[in-house]
Amino acid sequence: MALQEITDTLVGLKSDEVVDLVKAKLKSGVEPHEVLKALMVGMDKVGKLFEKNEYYLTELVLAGEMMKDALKVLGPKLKSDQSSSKQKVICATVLGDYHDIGKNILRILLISAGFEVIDLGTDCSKEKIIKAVKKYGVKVVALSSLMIMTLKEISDVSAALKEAGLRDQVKIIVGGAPLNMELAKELGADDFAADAVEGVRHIKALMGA
Amino acid sequence: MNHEEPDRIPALEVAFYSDTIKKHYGMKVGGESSLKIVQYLPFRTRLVRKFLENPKIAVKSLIDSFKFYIKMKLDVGLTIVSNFPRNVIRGGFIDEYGRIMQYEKYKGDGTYILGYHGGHLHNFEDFEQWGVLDPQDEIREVMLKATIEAQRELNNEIFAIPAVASVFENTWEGFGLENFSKILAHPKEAQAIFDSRGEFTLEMTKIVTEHDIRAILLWDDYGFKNGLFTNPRHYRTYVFPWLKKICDTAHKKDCKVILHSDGDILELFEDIIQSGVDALHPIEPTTANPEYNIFKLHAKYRDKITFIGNISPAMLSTGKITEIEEYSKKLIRELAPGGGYIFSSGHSINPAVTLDRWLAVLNIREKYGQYPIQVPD
Repeated sequence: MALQEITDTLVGLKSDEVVDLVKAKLKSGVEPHEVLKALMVGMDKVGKLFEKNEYYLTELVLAGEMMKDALKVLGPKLKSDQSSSKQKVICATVLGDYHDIGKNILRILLISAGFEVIDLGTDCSKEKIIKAVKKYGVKVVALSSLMIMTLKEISDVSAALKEAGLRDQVKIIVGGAPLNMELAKELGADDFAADAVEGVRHIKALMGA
Repeated sequence: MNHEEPDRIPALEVAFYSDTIKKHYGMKVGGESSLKIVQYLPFRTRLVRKFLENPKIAVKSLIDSFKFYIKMKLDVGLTIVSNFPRNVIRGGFIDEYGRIMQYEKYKGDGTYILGYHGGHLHNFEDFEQWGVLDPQDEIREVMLKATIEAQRELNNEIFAIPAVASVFENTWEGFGLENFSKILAHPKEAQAIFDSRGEFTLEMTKIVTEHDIRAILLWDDYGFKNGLFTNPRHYRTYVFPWLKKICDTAHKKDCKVILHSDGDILELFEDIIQSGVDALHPIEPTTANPEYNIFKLHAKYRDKITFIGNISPAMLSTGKITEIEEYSKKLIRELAPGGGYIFSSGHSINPAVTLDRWLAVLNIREKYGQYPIQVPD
């Protein structure tokens, strides 16, 4: 019941209250991972409201910002027992493209869903992606491309992973305005998501989570 | 836009980013490279403003640009009267709304594109310090006078329309979506910000009509591929009251209002019509909503609003020529009879659009764009 309040605050988008509430719960002796669980339930509900068209992009983003603020308080208390076991995902906007709204929403939703996100930013070269795949041993690379003229970069990343002998170990999921599933496959990706909420669901499936 | 048949279907493009196509028509390209030098100079913002305030330069650059449009037989040329640089920074500038804009070079043909790179403002306090936009800024007057002069110099072969930033997109982009989403959770702050931006666009509309200009284009984006950026109630509270005032002001002086908005904005379609918008561009064809379809919308609203669009930029980049030709013919055949339709791409011409595909579009409009409309199936 006490933790329901945290979930409700997030779902109700009471952005000025969430940090104080998290601090109060921790002070009262609630375990950090229980607080995190309540927040994750809240984000999941917000995602569902977004999919039902009851919440819109700014509401999804606001919930993500609330989650980020809450994690700043929770983070240091969670580090010791959580981070090593998390599944890792790379998020990046492809080379030549600087749009990052979709990527940033996906990042926070993935974090909220318990993933560790390696965010490579925008205008990201295939070399940078290969290096990160090797370094972190990720199984999923999520690429964003919002411009028609940068779509080819998806093929280039796929080809570069193949050349590096990593393609069989890594799934590529893509998103962005000009894309659909057919085009995604044509470009060498394994999957496509129409929005960040769907992206999280698909990434879970790709991970076998 | 009067829903009457003219001599031919008007055609317009709101943005043209393709050095390849420009070169084909003999246009000089690469002017953006001078920015590489300017960005390192002291007083660079003042220098850029001096350049923009120069009436001779303004008229010449508009005439050059309009001549390019005339060669392609486009009928409308846009001029920019807002979003000027407030601070020139490395690789671009921060505009009047606080939007960080950077020049991006397309590696294909070297075309420079001005892209949005986030918001400079973080919160309401930043907004208050940033201050209001000044409709009386000298640059706007120079651009408006140049708009009229360039059209006259070209013997009215092109209809020059000032484009002014409208209330929603430019406002949120000044903050970035994350910060702006937080501001929306504080209605008093959101109202103050939107009122300030709405007041500016309204004043700009008044100024445009005082110059006896008969159309204005409002730059905005209410949606994206999957729907609206924010809850419809936010548009109804903060945006549409201003949009209505802007349209009413324009209409009093016989000035038409064209609204540009990307994305699937089906949920707001009737609000837009009720606000008084005369024409909507571009009815983006690549949204995820099959109901956001220019032919379906035209069947329902053809008497209430003019449609501008909507040949898919994706099709113009990778589609088959025959596919482009058939879609262009379908647009003319189904939407043009009776007037109320302007031929255009479904967004803008970007560097991925190939010359042969673009020429195919122009060819169809040239071949079938005369009234009375006769397009074979």
